[in-house]
Amino acid sequence: MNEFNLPKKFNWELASQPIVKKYVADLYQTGTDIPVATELFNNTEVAFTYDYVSPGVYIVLASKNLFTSPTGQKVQATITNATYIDDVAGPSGQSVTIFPVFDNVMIILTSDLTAEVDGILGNNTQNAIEITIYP
Amino acid sequence: MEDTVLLNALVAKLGAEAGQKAYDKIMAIKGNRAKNI
Repeated sequence: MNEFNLPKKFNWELASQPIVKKYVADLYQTGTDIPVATELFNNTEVAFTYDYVSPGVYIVLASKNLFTSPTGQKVQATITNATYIDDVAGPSGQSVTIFPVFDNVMIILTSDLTAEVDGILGNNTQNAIEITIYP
Repeated sequence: MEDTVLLNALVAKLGAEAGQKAYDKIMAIKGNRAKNI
């Protein structure tokens, strides 16, 4: 009897589990071009597009409102940092930051630690953006 | 220090409300960075 019931219970549990959704893409940006995203995985049912604002300032636009309500779905956006140390020219580094600013808008900032500059994303190291949506 | 070029660019691309919010957060991050270096 137990053997017969176990598979049914297991299937029911699977169907009831909330699904974590994820978007992952590699980013590359140079000059004053819009960042190019190579999508690696996306089961979010959300399309993400990119735009160029000014040196080191880029927009990530979601096709749905992800950040509208703090009591709704939980969204985490992360991006690989690009810090490196140049021992020849002296200590230096880079910083890559992503943060939400509006219902469906995130901003990416890339800097050389003194000012926002272009040509960091995907140039010295791989920079992957990952957006995880928790139910 | 106000960066009207950045603000105008953000407003042009995102609209007035989202552009202003983006600008405020960017300037806050820039300000914190300047204090930490």
